[in-house]
Parts: sequence; C-alpha cells; structure tokens
Amino acid sequence: MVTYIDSCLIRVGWFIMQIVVNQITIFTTVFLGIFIEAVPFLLLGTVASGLVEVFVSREDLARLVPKNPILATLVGGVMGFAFPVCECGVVPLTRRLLSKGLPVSAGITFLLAAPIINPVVLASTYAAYGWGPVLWGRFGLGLLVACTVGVIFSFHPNPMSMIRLTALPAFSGGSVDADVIPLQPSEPLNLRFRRAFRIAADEFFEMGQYLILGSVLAALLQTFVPQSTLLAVGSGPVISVLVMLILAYVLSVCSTVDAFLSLAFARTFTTGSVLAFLIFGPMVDIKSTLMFLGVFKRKTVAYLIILPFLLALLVGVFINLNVAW
Amino acid sequence: MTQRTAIRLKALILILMAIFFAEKFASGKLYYYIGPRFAWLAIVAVALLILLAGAYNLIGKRKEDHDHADHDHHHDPSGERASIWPLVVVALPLALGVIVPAQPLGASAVSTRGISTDVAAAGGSETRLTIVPAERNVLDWVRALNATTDPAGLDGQEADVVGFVYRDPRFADDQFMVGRFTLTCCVADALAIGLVVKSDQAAVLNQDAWVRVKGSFLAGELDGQKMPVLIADEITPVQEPEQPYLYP
Repeated sequence: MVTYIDSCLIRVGWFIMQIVVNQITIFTTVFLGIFIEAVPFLLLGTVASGLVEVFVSREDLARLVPKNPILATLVGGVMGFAFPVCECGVVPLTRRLLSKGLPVSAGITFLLAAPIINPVVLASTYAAYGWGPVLWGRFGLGLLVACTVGVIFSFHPNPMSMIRLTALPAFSGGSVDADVIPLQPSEPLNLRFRRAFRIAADEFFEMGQYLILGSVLAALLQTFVPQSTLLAVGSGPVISVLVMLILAYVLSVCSTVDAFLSLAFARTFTTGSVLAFLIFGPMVDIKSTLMFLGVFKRKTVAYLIILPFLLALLVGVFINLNVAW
Repeated sequence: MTQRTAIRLKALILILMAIFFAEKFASGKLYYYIGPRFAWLAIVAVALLILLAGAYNLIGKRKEDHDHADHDHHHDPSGERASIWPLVVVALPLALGVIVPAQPLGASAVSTRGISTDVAAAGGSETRLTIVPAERNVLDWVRALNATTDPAGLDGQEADVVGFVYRDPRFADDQFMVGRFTLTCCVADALAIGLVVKSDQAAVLNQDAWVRVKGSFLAGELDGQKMPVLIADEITPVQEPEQPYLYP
C-alpha cells in the first residue's frame, strides 16, 4: 500500500516537474529571442553615445539646437535621422545628449520620436505596408505625439530634477569611471575612439541590466499569460485600440522590425489600432520602461508611459471613428 | 568589488557574450530565436562586443597605474567601488543559455499561445497561393484554407507537409494537428498554426513529435466546426527541420 502511494507520488511529481521544465524551456527561448534581437541595437546605441561624448562638444550642440523650446522640440523630433537608433539604443544616447546640454523638452521628444522617425524604421514600414496611410500616418502622427509630450514636459519648472540622482555621475562627463582619462582637446584620434568605446562598454552594462530585466518580464508574461484571451476581445473601435496598445507594451519587439509583426494583426484589427500599435510600441514597452527607470525618476517615467499611451489611444480611436480607409 | 576586478569581469562577460552569439550563429541555433532575415544582427553584435571588450583591455592597464599614483585622495567613492549587480544581470542570459538546453517552441508552447487554422494570425499575402500544391508547407495550406469559405473547397487536393504533432481535448480520437510556429521578427511574436489531420495512428503519435504527413483534403470538422481536414495516407517520423519556424 505504502509503495503504491509512493509510486503515485513519484509519478505526480515527475509529471509536475515535466511541466515546470517545459515552461522554463519556453521562457528561456522567448527571453533569449528578445535578448538576441535587442542586444545588437543596444550596442549600436551605446557606441553612438560614446562617439557623441568624445566628438560632439556642448558648444556644437548649443549651436545646432534652437533656444525656443517649441522649435527645440521639433528639432528633437527629427534628430532621429541623424542618429538612427531604436528604443534600446535611444535611452543611453538621450542621456548623453541631455548631459551635453540638450534641452529636456527636445531630449524627451527625441527619446520618443527617434525609434519611429529614422531611416531604418521608415524602410521596414515601407517594406511591410508600401506607400500609404499606414506609412505616413505612423510617421506624421508619431512625430505629433512625441512633440506634444515634449512640449508638455517643457513646462516643467526644474527639468533637471526629473533625472535620477544615481544617473547624475554620468553628467560630469562620461560614465561612472571613464573620468580617469581626462579630456584633452589635442588627443590623438585613435585614443579618442578608444575612449568612446570604453564609455560605450560601461554604458552597455549600465543600460543592459535594465534591458535584460525588461526582457525577463516580457518573456514571463508571454509564457504564462495566454495571448489568445487578449486577441479574442480585439474588435470594436475603442477596445481594439486598447488591446493593440497593451500588446505593443507587452511584446516589447524592436521598433525596426515591428512593422512586419503588425502585418499579422492588420487584417483582424482596425486600422486605427494597428496605427496606435506602430506609434506607441516604439515609444514605450516593458524593456524601455526598465531602461527609463535607470535614467529618470519614477514619477517622470510614469508620465512618459501615460502621456504617449493616452495620445496614441486618442489617435487610434479618432481614426477608427472618423476616417474610413 | 574593486574597479579593477569590475573591469576584468566586464571584459570577460563581453568576450563570452561574443562567443555566445558566434556559437548560436555557427550552429544554426540562432534560428530558434530570430528569423533568418535578421541573422546578420548577430554578426554585428559579435563585432561590436569584441570592439568594446578590446577598449577595456587596453585602457584597463592605464587605470591600474592611475590607481597607484593617486592612492591618497579617494575623492570619488563611486570610482573606487563597483556594484556587482549590473554584471550579474548582464551575465544572466549567458548562464541561462548554458544551463537550459536550446529548444525551439513546439507543441508545449501552444497552451499559452493558442494554435490557429486562421491565416490572419499568420499574416502575409495571398500571392503565395500561386505555389504549386505539392510544394506547399503548413503555412501555405493554411492560407489556401482561408482563401475559401467552403469546407469542401480543397476536396481532393493532395498535400505533403512537415510539422509537430499537437493534440488537445477538442480533437477526436482519430484526429491531431500538424502544426508549425510562424515568426516575423523573433520568438516573442511567434504564432502557432496548424492543419487538422485524420488518421488511425493519431492516438499513438506523441505530442510534439515531428512528422511528415502525406494525404488529401476532405470536408470534415473539428469540435463541431466545419473545415477541410487532411486525410492522412502516410505519416512518417522525421527529424526536426533546421529552421523549425515558418516565415510569412
């Protein structure tokens, strides 16, 4: 009798263990998938940031960016063409530009707009949708949303207070420990490059930890929360937009490739909801939220999520109700 | 942890990560995670990781000299002690990649993601319908299925497809699904699709086993819903394909 119960327990235990092992394997595959796709872009972003630190001076930047906060916001919006980065790379680069004296309103606009308004994303969206309302809607309305949030942030009385104190050492010129090699104007070119890569490497770890924690969260949600429940409710002009916004946040797919992904939903979902997905996803998702938390204070991060969310919702619902494509 | 140790560990992690990406690329296991059209990203990563690790190596030595020279004025505490947490977190994917055996998504991942006979879930265009029936894979057939509203629309057409076995309580005893995951960017957006197969062998096939199914379509039903069903003439076990996913 005892042995019978024992063998039952062993079987049940074996069964549960198999399920657990299965889930861990699925989680690992999804997590590594997000990680492998994001890391190259994070590396490109940190290298861009290192190069900016070494080759662009505060004076250069001050000359290029207008004093008027509204104009500065617009410049921040189209700066993505000069720095083609996606949402993983844009966070370290924005922090660097802010430390170089870029106005916060322009920095926030750049942070939100660059993952959409850049040549790589333009090309991938064109490849997926061709020349049409989705393409220019994504770029035009994406820029509008980013600039609006930037203008709202420009009213902050003390913009520098939005940045986390522990992120401030980076503002004294370089990453935490890159200041051991002092800045020399006559520094030879190869040393300058070496310093840029050193800064990039430090930043890769600093930002990489948030990227990885974000990828863990996204993979956990994907492994344990059934996607079908979300997609099943996906019709109606308002609900469909909400569903696609949540999906964009949870999936955390890189903005350079999310246009291909959204094709999968283009037929079952309303145009407004697909457009909202393409506008909101690049600006904010789980992994970029974690990266924002490494740079900005919590309250600022909350606004950085809520404002684009509400604006993208507004855009999506408006299109669904008023525009027939 | 001192800065010197941190720098050495960081350089080590960067090199290991470069090896990780290179190994995934060389072994073809990269396709468990991302689509082939983004494989070049892994090469970019390897190049940049080595570049960054190199930057540590060369400047790390200077830093040591500096430490000795300035021994008596530690003005910047953050410059002297480094937190170990960023390193642990960044090393986490490497650790998981080594400990957990690499495996593509299969039938066991269907439970949370769902499996569909609906092409809208897979995306892409109808132009693929021009592919001759003998060459069609699961995705092409699911597209063909969706191009017609008539459950008998594919009657008599012969198919030869490869996929994993998937069963759940909805299926009759002589039914299973031959499934594949479709991928656009990376596994984060993977969606499962499948064809309903009718066969006497259905009950003895193991969940998640890879099979090649030859047969022809006939109007049938799954769980009360009318749809074309593949009547199997021949089911053979096969190796998992080199690229386990299909790409719309």
